[in-house]
Amino acid sequence: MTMQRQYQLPNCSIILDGLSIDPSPGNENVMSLLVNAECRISGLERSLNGGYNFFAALVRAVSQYGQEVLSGYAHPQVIEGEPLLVHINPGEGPYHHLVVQPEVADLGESGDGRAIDIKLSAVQLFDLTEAGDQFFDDKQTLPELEPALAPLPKRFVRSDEPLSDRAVPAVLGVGSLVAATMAFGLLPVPELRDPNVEVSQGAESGEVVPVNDNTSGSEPPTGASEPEDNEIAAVPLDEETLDEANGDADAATGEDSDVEVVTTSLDATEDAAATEENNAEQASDVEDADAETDLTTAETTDGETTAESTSTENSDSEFSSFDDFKEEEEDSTTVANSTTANSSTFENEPPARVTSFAQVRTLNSQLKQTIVENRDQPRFGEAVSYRVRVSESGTITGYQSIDSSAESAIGETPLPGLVKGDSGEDSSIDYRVVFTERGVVEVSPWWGWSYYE
Amino acid sequence: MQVQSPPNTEPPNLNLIDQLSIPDGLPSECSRRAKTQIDLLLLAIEALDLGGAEAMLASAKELGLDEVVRGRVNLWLLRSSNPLRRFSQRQPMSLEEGKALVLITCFLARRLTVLIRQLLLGYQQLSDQGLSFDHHFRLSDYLARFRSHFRARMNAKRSGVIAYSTDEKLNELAIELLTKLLFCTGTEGAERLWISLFDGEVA
Repeated sequence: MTMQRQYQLPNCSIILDGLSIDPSPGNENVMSLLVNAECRISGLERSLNGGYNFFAALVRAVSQYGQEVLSGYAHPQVIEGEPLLVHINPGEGPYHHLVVQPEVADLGESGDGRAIDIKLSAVQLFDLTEAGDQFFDDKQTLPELEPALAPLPKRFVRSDEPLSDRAVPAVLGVGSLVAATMAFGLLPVPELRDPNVEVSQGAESGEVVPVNDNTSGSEPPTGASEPEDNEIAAVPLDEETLDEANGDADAATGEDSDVEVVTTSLDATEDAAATEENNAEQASDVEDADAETDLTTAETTDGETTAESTSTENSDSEFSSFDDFKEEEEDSTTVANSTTANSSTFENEPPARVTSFAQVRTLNSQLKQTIVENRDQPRFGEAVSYRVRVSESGTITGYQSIDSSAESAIGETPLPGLVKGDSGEDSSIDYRVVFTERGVVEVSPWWGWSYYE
Repeated sequence: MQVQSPPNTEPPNLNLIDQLSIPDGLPSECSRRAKTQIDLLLLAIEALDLGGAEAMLASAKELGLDEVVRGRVNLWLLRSSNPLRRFSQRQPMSLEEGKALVLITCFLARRLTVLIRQLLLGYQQLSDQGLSFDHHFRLSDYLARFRSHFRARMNAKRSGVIAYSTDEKLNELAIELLTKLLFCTGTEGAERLWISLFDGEVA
């Protein structure tokens, strides 16, 4: 029994002529043998005609290409190993190209042996696909043809980018990670600041001024003698101090009261001492040294009382002349030196520059090495400084705390155990040793590097 | 679309969602590309139809999918799983949810068949004559609306979105989506779209 099936859409129609060869009941209407397939596409003068091979290849290619349109990945349009009879290629803009090999399709007499290339718009292509889908859906016609819709396996999906392009982001990412790691490695470990330590620091620095109170008696003379020791920054300050002290003394003379005189002069010197202290902190090492020497002098209690009492008693005459001040200062210094234990005299005079720069440097590193090797563990907390005297042979002959906090922290440093006593050598070099708050030992010449150059 | 020998239609399955096949080797959830693709198609539908967002909810009910797509917030969350979104939710989309959205997309696309064909024919004519899209009012309207939807909702910092930074690129994308929607209107539209979402995802 011959039969015809038509699948018509606005831009495309498929007409199938065939036979039913299965007479079993229920299958009489099933077209199982295709005689001719005709595909009419609007805009095309002639229709495409062909047999079973043409039709099977056409619907398969169209169906697969429909999936390509939806997903963007090229689907294989023939079963592997079979000749490519019909296939569709994407074209420019809204167009696609249906290419049919001449051996399967009959385009009438116009066929010149070349493949037929039909330009399909998106809507035409869809209508062709839809006609195919309707055919697939029709179980009464050639039921052995299946649409075979399946996701495209991975092996058919080729990435558009070459491997080198795809590798670039990964390489860049890893590279920048490495670079960042190295950069962070170079940064110092962040310092852990204990707020308690900072509070105690503040408290201690506040105590510095009261300490100076005790030394008030001998303080002004020290100030007066400073211009001789070094001429850097102390001169204007000392003149002020002198003037102030003199003024106070004059006033005191007029009032005939010893007690009052003492108080005023105390106040005056206290101010001066405080100013000096501040100044000393900011100014050069040399100046600093002076203030510190004064402190030590003051701390030797015997000398202090003597000096204070003397200055109190002689307040009228004492402040009248510069020379008196100087004498007074020398006296107290002598007393102080005699009472300083375990330490040679730390005079404020710069040493003779007989020592070579190289030697100073050698001793510097040697001293640092000695201290680092002899300490039990790094000392943390507030920075403390000491003046350490080293003989030319490298023996530590003495040390001196620079302020009260250094004095109290002396037990935490290896310095007391390192002093070997005076070796009898003439020349020695003073170094500034600082135990910083991060536990680092810093050593530098007391008079500065430039002094020896 | 008359068919002289209409296919013997099976009685409509009550559970539409089971009509979409799950081929072997399918991943357990929708891929990134699937989530992106579904959301973009829905975005194109919104650009075609002003009431598109409401229509999605209505069609979910109509198709009996309201157990999978539970209301407005759930629909928004599902669409926001598109990684290109500005407020991408980074949540997985199950196969069931993916199927439901595919069915909704195809249902709405089928309703808009006439418009989609008109726009594609218009685009074809304009590009044949080398004219700008402004000559087709309905088409330029669709393109403009799609561009503004896209720019308002996609994260402009994503490389996938940067590729569409110009109007021309966005127009191309809009036309491409329109063509895909046309293929969704077919007899096997839902199955085709559903299967195409997993291209390159199976072994």
